[in-house]
Amino acid sequence: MEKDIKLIVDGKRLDGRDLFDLRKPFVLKLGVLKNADGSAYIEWGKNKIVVGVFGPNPVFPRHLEDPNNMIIRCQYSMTTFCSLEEHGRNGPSRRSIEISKVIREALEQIVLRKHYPKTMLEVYITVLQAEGGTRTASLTAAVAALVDAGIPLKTLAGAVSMGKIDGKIVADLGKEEDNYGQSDIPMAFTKEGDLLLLQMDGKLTKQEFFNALDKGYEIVNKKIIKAIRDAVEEKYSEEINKKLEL
Amino acid sequence: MIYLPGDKVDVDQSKIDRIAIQKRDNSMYATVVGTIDDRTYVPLEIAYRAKIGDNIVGFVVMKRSVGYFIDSGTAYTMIVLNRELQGELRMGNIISARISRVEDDQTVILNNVRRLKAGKIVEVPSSKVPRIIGKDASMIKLIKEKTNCDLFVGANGYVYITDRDKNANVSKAIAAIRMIVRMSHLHSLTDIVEKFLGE
Amino acid sequence: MENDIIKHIKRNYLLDLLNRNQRIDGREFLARRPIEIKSDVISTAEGSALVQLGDTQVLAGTKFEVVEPFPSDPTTGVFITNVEFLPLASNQFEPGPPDENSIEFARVVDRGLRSAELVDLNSFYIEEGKVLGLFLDLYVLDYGGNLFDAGYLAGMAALKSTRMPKIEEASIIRGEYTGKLNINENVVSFTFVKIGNHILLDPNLYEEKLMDSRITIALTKEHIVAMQKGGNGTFKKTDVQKLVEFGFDNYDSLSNLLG
Repeated sequence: MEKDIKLIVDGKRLDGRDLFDLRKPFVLKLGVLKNADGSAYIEWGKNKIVVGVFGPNPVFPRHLEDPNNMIIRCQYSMTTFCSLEEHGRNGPSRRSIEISKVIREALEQIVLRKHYPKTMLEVYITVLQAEGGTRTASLTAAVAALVDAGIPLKTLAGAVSMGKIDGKIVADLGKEEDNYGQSDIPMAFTKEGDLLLLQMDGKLTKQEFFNALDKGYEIVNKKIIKAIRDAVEEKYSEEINKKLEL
Repeated sequence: MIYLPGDKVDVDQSKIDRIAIQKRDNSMYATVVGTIDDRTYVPLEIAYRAKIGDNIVGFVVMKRSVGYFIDSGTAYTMIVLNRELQGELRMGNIISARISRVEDDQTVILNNVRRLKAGKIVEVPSSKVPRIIGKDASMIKLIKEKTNCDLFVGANGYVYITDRDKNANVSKAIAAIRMIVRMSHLHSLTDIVEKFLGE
Repeated sequence: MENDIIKHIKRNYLLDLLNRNQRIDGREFLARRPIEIKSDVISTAEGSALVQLGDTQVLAGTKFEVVEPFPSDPTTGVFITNVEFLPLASNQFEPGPPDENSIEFARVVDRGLRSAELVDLNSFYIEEGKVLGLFLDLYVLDYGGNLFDAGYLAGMAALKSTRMPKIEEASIIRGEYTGKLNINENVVSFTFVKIGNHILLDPNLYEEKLMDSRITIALTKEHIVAMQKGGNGTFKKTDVQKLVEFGFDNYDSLSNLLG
């Protein structure tokens, strides 16, 4: 790895962004799949991700039933051609199993599961094209898909990958920034500031981390959750007949 | 104005849907997408939850010693107990019924069972059912009058349509229902449907 | 509660309509649903396409790798087709390894494209023990019936949009390309289902779930390149002949969509 790549020059990142700018495009659409009970499609930078949710449905296999709550099954997967590098493999990798878990745990905090005991909610995420930050984009799209499906939620939530590059805290790491930067901190918050997802690798001081957390919440609240709101408004401003527009 | 989960809403305390509205610290919050009409929260999308008093439309799909199992298009197992029936039901019969009980294990027990004569079933999202019925049943009455059809709307999202007489236009009734589903968020919906049915 | 009894009920309803010359979505028996093809939708793939056929949506992508050739054909490139029925496409699709339906689908699409000799696999030779492998991956995103025809269109459109990678010292330089993959003609397919005595083109979801049997015919302008019968019922020999004729007569209308 090149240690002398400068990721920030004159306050601008490699792609010309300011420190806390999100990548473009940032597009979120609801109701893109006909079969799923709810669905969403997100383009975030070069990420293209589709989410479909089903439920509440009877639990399969039966013995996983929770007598008091709807259980959530979440699977994150990637296409074999989603990365510019080599042809991938179908089937879950260790990385995608971990991501499925942290996303599920985040959703479990906002879904009002007690209203549908002994049932199951299935959340399926497929990354069609990837460019870093897929888990935060996936979680954001999953929340939108749940809203689309009419699954009752305590509140809205969104996610963003904060990071540290060239000694500075920034928002929404791009691929090179993730590879050559100093820390990657994906996080998800509810509108009210409750943390639903938090991961981190790299090296941070206490102060750097607190900055990232504060700024991350501000961005989630002002930009990410707002995007979900806008997508819902858009859905109802036209006839409900949307398809995937890649 | 469209409300999203987590938005504070000002609605009549006596008319709260306990799934679509959550009470927190003396305020009320929406849990699903919806609008407010006459201080009542109107969900635009909501996953169906069976409750006592719901009217259901379904198909008879299985007979067991206890009674008949009904397909309602939902996750719920719905049963008509033998003792609730006068006479028999056959596989494939369309019935209307009322939910009398929801057991702990989420099995739904039906009563007030009525066999419906041959007709068409249109499947709609259960969240659109209130719109299809309309305020004081105004929308459903409009469709019945203008198309000469009999309609029965199940809370589970199965809408039963049959001809009332020779002048019945079942296809028009179906088209009107599909229109309502697509445009459920528009306030002027009754006018639009009335215009369509008048053609 | 999707079981045989519900199928029986809904099938009678469908058959009743068919006996009165009506399909559930109002189409003619031999009419297709609207088709939309968008090429080059995934920039990380060498080629890609999204096909929307009625409510069915299939995404295809191609990727090149340097691979070892098969020992029996040491100078010939490799072409492999894979399919995933994504669980988000339908509640009927369980997550997990491909089941018999998705494997059949992958093999039928592969057979048609391969038999048509669309790609000159001899041009994929790099050096001893190294050839180009072309991977075509299809993902079912939304299951609305007739995956075969959507799959063929998506596969073809993805192949036609495929860029050849730059190769240096027997390795692929990712992100750099040298022209397009040469595809010398179009393969299109026609899928029919039989319900009772009625034969329908391009089944929608209900028709497919309630069908007796199904037949898929894949064609180039002059040749049949793949056929597959599926399901429980039978077709008369004369029916199949008529369907093949129909396919050749209507080849252009589908082929023109691919360009």
